[in-house]
Amino acid sequence: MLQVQNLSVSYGRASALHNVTMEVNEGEIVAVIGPNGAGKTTLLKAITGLLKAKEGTIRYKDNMITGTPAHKILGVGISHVPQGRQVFGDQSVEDNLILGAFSIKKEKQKIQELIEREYERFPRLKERRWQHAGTLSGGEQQMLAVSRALMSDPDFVILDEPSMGLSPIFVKQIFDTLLELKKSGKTVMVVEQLAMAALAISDRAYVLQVGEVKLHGQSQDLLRDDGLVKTYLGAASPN
Amino acid sequence: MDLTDVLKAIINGLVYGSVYAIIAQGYYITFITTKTMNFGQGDFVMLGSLIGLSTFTAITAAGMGVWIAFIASLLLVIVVVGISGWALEQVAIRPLRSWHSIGWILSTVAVAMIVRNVAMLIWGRDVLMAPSPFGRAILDLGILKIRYHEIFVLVGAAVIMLLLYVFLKKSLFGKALEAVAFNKDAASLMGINPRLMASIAFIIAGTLAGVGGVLVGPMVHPGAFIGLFLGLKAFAVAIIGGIENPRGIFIGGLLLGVSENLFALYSTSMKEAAAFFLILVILAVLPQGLFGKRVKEKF
Ligand SMILES: Nc1ncnc2c1ncn2[C@@H]1O[C@H](COP(=O)(O)OP(=O)(O)OP(=O)(O)O)[C@@H](O)[C@H]1O
Ligand SMILES: [Mg+2]
Repeated sequence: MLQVQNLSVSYGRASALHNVTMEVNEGEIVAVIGPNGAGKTTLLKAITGLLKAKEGTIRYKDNMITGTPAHKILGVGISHVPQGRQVFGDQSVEDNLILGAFSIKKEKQKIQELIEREYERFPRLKERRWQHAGTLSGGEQQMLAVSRALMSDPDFVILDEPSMGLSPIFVKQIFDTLLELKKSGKTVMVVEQLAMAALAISDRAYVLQVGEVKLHGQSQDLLRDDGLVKTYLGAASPN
Repeated sequence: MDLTDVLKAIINGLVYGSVYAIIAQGYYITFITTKTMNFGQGDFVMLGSLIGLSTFTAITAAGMGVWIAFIASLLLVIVVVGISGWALEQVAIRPLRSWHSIGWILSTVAVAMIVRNVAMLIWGRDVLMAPSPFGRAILDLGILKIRYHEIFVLVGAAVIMLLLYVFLKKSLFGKALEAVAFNKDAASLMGINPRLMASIAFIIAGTLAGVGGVLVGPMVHPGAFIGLFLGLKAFAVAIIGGIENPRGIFIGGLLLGVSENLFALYSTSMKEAAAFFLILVILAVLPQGLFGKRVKEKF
């Protein structure tokens, strides 16, 4: 479904991604793990057009999407939940969801249905529907960020550290959501610091370090590999 | 000085203040979407009043009614100054924004100078008379006489700002604009094109300046130089009200208009000082402006 080939990205003269090749197949959950500063966010941003690739190509469903600007990415079916949630803090929970459906411009009725679907997924959001998103707790903001990204009914969902700063209950809820998405036929790519938890729910995984893919394979195999944590993720990795 | 004078000063102040506020809404809308603004906004107002004046005069001279002339001149001004707003963003803002610089301040001032000089070539250096569609008709309330045009300006400005406010707060487009203002990257991930939004913001700002010019024309003697004082007053209003708060700008406009007219009762030279006096006092007490955003925690 998604093919990244020999992708290199740099910030000014500093290289952040070097010659990264990876792919995500339809219906999979693919995890990208690696230490801070490995280039995980950079990879996601390059895929969804928030950053320009210096070299390499990105294909999605047989279309070349290299260089497609971010605001057109949702149109091809990819939705990106950015790192740090980035909800629209000055606007209400419901307005955030409405903005998530900006690109589909369907009838009000349809958008209302989508909103209700998201409220069913995360009932807490419904309780707080008129609250400014900036006043939600971190976990609630993450739920909102996920729901907002699902408002356009994307085929492919990309999430950048959805567990960041969340307590275990919230983390479980978010990870369960990823499994549900997979079950409903969507394809998921998730960047995570919680390497073990991410391996546990994903089909395949890529380990990124200083801008390069160091290792990739079936998540189960990586999970059994004792050296993985020590070698690539450093001592800081929890779980 | 008696009570009538004070009342007259207050009403005058509200009329002028509402025009300042309309113009200042232009600063607001581009500032929230792009964190930039047109420092030549006042000269766009000037352009609006002069184009409006010429169109109005030409059409009435051709024997058509004043209201046809007024509506036609308003529409022409909206188109011309709206497009000027769009062009300004393309030429003076967009190319400079990728730099981490305040170059756009200088470039918008430069465009303003060009506009002013072109206006001087077309309309000359002298002030002109701008007729109102109401002529010089006056509403006589006994103790108080008000020109119909002034009532029209007051009501018109309030309606325009109300529409703008509802549009920005309630429509999907307005929400998208606010989203871009809050977080450009996140907004583009929603499928919102930030560049398009920036263009539209500058078109709206230009339109507001143009409409402000048409309204204010018959109250001042318009000429190529009026942009400077109108732009400055409107800028003061934006600072007083809090540049990110449209309601604050509305109230700030009225406040400035009224206080400068009250000051003028004591001395005309005090009038011009009023704006700056008001700014100093308000910023000393409320650095964010009257209704500015209080610092809010995001995470
Ligand atoms: N805007 C930027 N300008 C310059 N360098 C940047 C910028 N953003 C990221 N970098 C650098 O690029 C490298 C990769 O950053 P990236 O954010 O992709 O890491 P990450 O794997 O997502 O880390 P984390 O787990 O902390 O989110 C880092 O060395 C970082 O300092
Ligand atoms: Mg990151």
